[in-house]
Amino acid sequence: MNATSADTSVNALNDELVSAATDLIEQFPDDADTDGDLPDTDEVVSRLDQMVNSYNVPLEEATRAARNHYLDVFGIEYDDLTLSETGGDAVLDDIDSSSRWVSVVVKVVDLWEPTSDSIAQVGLIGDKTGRLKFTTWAKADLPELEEGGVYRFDNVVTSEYEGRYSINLNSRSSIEPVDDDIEVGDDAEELSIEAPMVAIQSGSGLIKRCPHEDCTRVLQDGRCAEHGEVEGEFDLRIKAVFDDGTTVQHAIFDKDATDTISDITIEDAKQQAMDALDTSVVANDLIDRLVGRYYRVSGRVVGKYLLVDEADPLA
Amino acid sequence: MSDSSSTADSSTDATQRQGRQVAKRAFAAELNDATHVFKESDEERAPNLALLPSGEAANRYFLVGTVTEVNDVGRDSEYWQARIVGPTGTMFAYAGQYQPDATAFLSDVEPPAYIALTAKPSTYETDDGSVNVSLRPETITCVDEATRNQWVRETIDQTAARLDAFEEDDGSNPYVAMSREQYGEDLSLDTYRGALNDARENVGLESVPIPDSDSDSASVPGADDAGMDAEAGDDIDDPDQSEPEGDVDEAAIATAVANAGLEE
Repeated sequence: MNATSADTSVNALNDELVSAATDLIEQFPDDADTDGDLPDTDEVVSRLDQMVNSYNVPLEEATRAARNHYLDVFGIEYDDLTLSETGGDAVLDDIDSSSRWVSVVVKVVDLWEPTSDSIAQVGLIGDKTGRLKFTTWAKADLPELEEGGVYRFDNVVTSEYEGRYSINLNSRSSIEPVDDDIEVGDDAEELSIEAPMVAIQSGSGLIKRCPHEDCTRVLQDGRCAEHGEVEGEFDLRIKAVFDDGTTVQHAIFDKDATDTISDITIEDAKQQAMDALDTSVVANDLIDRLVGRYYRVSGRVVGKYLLVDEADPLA
Repeated sequence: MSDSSSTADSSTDATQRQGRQVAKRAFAAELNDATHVFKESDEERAPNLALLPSGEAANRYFLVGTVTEVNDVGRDSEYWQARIVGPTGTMFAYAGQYQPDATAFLSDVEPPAYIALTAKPSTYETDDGSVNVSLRPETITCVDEATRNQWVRETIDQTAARLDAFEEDDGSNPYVAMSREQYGEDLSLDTYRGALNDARENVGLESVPIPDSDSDSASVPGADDAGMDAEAGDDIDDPDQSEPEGDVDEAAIATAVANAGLEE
């Protein structure tokens, strides 16, 4: 993919240029060419080719430069582009695995002292769903971030260390200042509680989720609020209420956490539901097994919900 | 699902605004004396609160006890009455057509069994004008002895804390004032402290001496002060004291409760 590999044939490279050019043009709004025509593919390819092959500019960098050039020419704001980056748009709370490419819009909450020369900047960024550590590698040669500034990061890569996630900005990433202010949520704190489970709420047990990519909505009567009637995919979860006599804590068990606390797997649940020809038997079984009993549960809190990682019976 | 199926006051705007009501812990001795119910707002759907003598308001309880008897006392439709016994006395729960999950459970359960329930307090007036307390279950499940003992210990702690706070109240807790007002200026908390000792004994804990209300010093070491305990424990040990009446007309009670329930 990177244009700097020495043995790339000219033809293959040309295909890459065409692809990059086409992608770039598609990002511009249809009504962009008020004064002149939008550049055609050949023109963009030729611009990219010059940078990549005559001046040894990496393709990503060349693409960025070309995009900015056309933004100037057409007087368009960056925010008006439709970017379908290789990194999907995400909120910080979505980040739950490493080595993923994502794009985020964040505010710089804190800047720290880099601990080595290979790090240009390091600190804490946040959006409304929470906060994460970020690191910008010096090699990436990216614009400097300011504390309090709001930026769009494209193509950053996630990493994980001892259960905590963070993002890294490298030479594939880009930074663009954003003109809006955004709200920063609290740190997704870790919480551990000891209390009886006093209720299991509706929407628990065997549920179906929308199969559309990036849509994980729970179906109501076979319908997704966004996509209408769809063939859902099964999932198992518990929306529980814990109450120690002083505070109420809502909690969500995903299918693994449900298995841990109840010994019911999604396969067990599907079998149960099939045998009874009724999915609600699963929720009722969970109630029988769990409600009224004492547990220690821990996990991260997002909003009002504790997302359970671990659950152990007490008593 | 249990949360949405049941009682009128469990899924209202008021609840959504202020969040779900905390489930208080109390023993039968105290809960059965919580005869004063009130609302804190004029809104139709504002939560009903029962005033615990120890100076707290409860819209919901979490209770664990032994169900010893279940009877269908309904006339035209199912109406289940459950006797639930604990170390301090007996309480009564009722479930009818508006509590389908609880009804299903009670019609099926084989006493004796340890059960855990979350329930709303409810009151009804008997023919002679006295007020009886009952419970309207939201969830009921079977649990084991370890869970029951855990609950007893937890309830001892939480009740003792309320009683201490009552005694040390400097006027800042409105429910303490309300309790004195509703249950009498000379309300004696010794009754409930005595009940706590019964509960302690039941789970193998040491009794705690009940402070002599005439003196400043709280404790005489030597927990078996026969005079004190006998006085405080007398009424509680007699299980019949906690029953609504001597000879119980179950059907009449059930009708009264059903009527009271519908009015809410």
